[in-house]
Amino acid sequence: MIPLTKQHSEQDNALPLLGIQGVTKRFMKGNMPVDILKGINMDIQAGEFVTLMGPSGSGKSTLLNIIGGLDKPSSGSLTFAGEDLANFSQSQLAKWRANNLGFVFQNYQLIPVLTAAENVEMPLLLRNMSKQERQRRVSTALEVVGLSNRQDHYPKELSGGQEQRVSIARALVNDPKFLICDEPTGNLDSLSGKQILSILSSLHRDFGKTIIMVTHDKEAANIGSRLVRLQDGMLQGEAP
Amino acid sequence: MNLPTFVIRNALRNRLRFALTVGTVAAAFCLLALFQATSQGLMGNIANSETDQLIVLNKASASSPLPIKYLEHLSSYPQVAEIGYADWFGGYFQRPENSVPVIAVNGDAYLKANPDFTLDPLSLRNWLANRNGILVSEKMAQRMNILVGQKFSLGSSIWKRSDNEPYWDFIVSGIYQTSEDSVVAGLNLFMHYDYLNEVKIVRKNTVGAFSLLLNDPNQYAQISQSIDAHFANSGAATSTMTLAAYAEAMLSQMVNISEVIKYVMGVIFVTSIGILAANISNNLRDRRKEVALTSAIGFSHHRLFSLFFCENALLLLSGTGLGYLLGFAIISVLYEQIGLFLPAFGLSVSGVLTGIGIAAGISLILAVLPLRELYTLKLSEQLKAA
Ligand SMILES: Nc1ncnc2c1ncn2[C@@H]1O[C@H](COP(=O)(O)OP(=O)(O)OP(=O)(O)O)[C@@H](O)[C@H]1O
Ligand SMILES: [Mg+2]
Repeated sequence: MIPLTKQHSEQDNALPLLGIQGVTKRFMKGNMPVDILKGINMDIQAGEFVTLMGPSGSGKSTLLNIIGGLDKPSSGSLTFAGEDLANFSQSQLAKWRANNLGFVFQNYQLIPVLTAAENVEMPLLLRNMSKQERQRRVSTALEVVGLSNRQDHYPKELSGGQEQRVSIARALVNDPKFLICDEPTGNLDSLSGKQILSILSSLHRDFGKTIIMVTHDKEAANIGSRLVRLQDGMLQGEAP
Repeated sequence: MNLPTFVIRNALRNRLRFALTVGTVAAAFCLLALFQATSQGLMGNIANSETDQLIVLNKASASSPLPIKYLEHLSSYPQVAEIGYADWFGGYFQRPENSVPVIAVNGDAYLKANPDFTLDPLSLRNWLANRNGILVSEKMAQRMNILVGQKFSLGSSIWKRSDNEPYWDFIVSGIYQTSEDSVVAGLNLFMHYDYLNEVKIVRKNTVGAFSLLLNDPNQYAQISQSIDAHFANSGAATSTMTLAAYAEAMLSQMVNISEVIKYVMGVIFVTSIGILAANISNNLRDRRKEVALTSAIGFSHHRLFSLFFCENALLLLSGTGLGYLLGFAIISVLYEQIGLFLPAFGLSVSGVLTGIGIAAGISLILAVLPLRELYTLKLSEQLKAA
């Protein structure tokens, strides 16, 4: 039995899962302010698989970090299922991430002293959940990414592709609505990359996960349901 | 897995660092345990003693004599239940280096005024019947294999005999016990005052000290004052104090142990903080990315902080526990020798609690360090691909 729930069809179409309104981000380069994001507007509907492309340094990761609440925008606002994220405190944001988001990073970010299964279990430690339930979810998540036979391996005993699959399992284990993936195939050879993309694709298609994924790979970008380009701090096609 | 497992995995991730940190903290607390045991040995019984035993000495110096006729005035207090007196004999066996702690006392009365010492009635009768009878403490008797009925001669480094004989003959009349909670070590041998007084040439009819036992321990201050006031203008002014105060004064001439302990505690406090602070910042530096990741998947600052706090507390408590265990083992071995002189030598519950209190204090102070780091950690920077 798979505990992951189908999500897109039940969602109210009028209200986007994620709303981005006029988001800007300014960094200081020495004493010079540099505007990386110059006013981003975008709605992501529940069940969409958005792929984001753009030149290196264009601000893709910056945008993803803002969406995930890891960084604050300089101005503009974000809503998640109609709720404004701007007023959330640090601990409210943490809780919101724990309940709604799954992250997949280019460099996997596994904890070296924990086994594959224990890494996957991490987000569940925040929940009031029995040990049996946690173990059931962990093995399901590892099954989804095809790593049931590697659950007791430590990260250093896994290949890059396997590490990334563990990190996807960790992102899934809480059954979040929204997956944020920053170049998940960036460090992988093309075969491992394909495996990862097919897992994400199935999560979108079969389990209705909403996904935003940054990639540099045209082919990868095409597996999504919508392709967005970021250039000069703006989403392609938008006026300044 | 659960959160405690996570804390332990993190603490043990660098085994060598863990062992060194715990070992250093353990060494510090072992040292503290040893000092506490010594302090307890020296001061333990003094701190808990009753104030019903007084000692009257010459005000000029404890080695100056007091006339025996002071007894008359001292007996006039209705609050004084028993009076004994004693003089130092300065005994040695064969050569002056082999000193034997003998004091000359007024028999039955002295024992009554010093209820810490107990003697069976048969030995008492035996002792009182023999002019050169001597009582030996149980500890001394065991250590030097002395038996009742044994005869020996001692020289005196203080007194010359009127008959010019070099030695004083003794016969062991009995073995006395000293109560465990006494402020005196209970090593002295008791000879008869009269035996000394009749044979000595100088300072006849003087004593080194009077011992008083009071009916009511609460009266000690008032009576001491009254006695000292009475003799203030006579030939030998007196200084009266509780037996415990006297024992403490004698001790502090040798070493001020409570000062030493304070310094030791201070040093342990500061070193432990230093070691652990270095450990925390190393850990945080090595683990910034992981901390950021944990935060990203939903661990609040509050929770991350508790995880770090627990990790440090684990280190510190392992160190403290190990240190006290080690200290306890060393103290048990040392007790075989030291216990003879310091029956209270050992660890007290309050001593161990003080140690744990120090450890808790250190934990709290150290708690602030990761807090600052956590709040300044930029998640997006840490999670960037290398
Ligand atoms: N904390 C920061 N302080 C200053 N400048 C920053 C900071 N983070 C990012 N930048 C700058 O913002 C710009 C966008 O960075 P970002 O990582 O979002 O790019 P990206 O589109 O993800 O690039 P890539 O494809 O190489 O991953 C870069 O020029 C970068 O130097
Ligand atoms: Mg990037």
